[in-house]
Amino acid sequence: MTVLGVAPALPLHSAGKYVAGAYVVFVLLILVYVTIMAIRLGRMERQLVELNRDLARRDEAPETSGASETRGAETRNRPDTRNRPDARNPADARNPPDARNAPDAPDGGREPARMGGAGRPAGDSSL
Amino acid sequence: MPTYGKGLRGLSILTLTTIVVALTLVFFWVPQDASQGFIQKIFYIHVPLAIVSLCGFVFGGILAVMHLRTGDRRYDMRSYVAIHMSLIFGVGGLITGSIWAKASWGHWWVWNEPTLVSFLIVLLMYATYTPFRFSIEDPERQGRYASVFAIVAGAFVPLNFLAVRLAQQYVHPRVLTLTGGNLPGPMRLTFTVSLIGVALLFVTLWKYEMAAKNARIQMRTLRRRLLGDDDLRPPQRSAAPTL
Repeated sequence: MTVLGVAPALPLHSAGKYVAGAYVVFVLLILVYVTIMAIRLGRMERQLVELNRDLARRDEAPETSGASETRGAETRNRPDTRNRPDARNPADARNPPDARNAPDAPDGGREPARMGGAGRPAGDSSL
Repeated sequence: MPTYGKGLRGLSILTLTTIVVALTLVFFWVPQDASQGFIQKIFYIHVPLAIVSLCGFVFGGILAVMHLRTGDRRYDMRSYVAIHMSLIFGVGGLITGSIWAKASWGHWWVWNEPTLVSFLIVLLMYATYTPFRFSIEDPERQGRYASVFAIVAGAFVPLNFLAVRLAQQYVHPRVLTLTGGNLPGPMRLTFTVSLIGVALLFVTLWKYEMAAKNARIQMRTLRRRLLGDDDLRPPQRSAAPTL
């Protein structure tokens, strides 16, 4: 190795710490950046887990609503009572549960479909 | 949506290899400088960091022009990430330069040195970029105003560089000039490899950050599509662009 330096401004033992300091700064900057990226990646992973959990919950929901749809089909086979004038009455929604569960309840065919979960209609499948 | 992760593994390996080669050349091959001695080895990290940082600012300005021309907010995102990365590299250049100044001049900072002060001005100017973005709530306006800022500041960078070069009174070394500079062959080669290594590092980290932001946006979109808008919390106010 050729050494051109004959009279350097700083001897090696003094200059070494500055050179080491400069390169350590460089490495530290990259390390800090990588650490921040790792934290963000961890956060994103947690969100993915959360999303998977929500999806699993949604997958369970149609199964439940599938069972209730069978019940809904049974009620749909009955003579259509929804077009009766009293079924369109807004006051009808305020009927007590026992009244709605009565065999001739006007919304008897619709109610089971709402049991699908999370207050969403069972037919609403954006999956 | 574009995928920024494509080719990232190869690029990372190339970057790492180049940086390892550069460090090997710096510490085991290149001769010591006649006047400065060992301290001159800071030059191989300080100057590439400063050059790549300034080029990154200009790159951010060019992407901002693309954003304003096309209205495509992905360019705003690219510009934001480029400026963000340049700021990090700029801080690195500033600190390593300060360490060199202390060793060589005996002072951490010299206020009557145009190169140092002009670089600091550029850095401080870009330090306002993120708070500026954060202060604008409407994403559309935020993107447009930030692009205008990036263009004006990006144009200021080369002008500033030229002004400093034309200044007569300076003590900062001029190693690279239009006539070829003062570097002997081995030093020039080592410097070039270091510059390529730092530039590749910039590109790699830029792609990493773009890939991360892209993944986050895609996940949010997916969540919205799967669970509906009602299930999403409103997005927090952010300096980062939202697509």
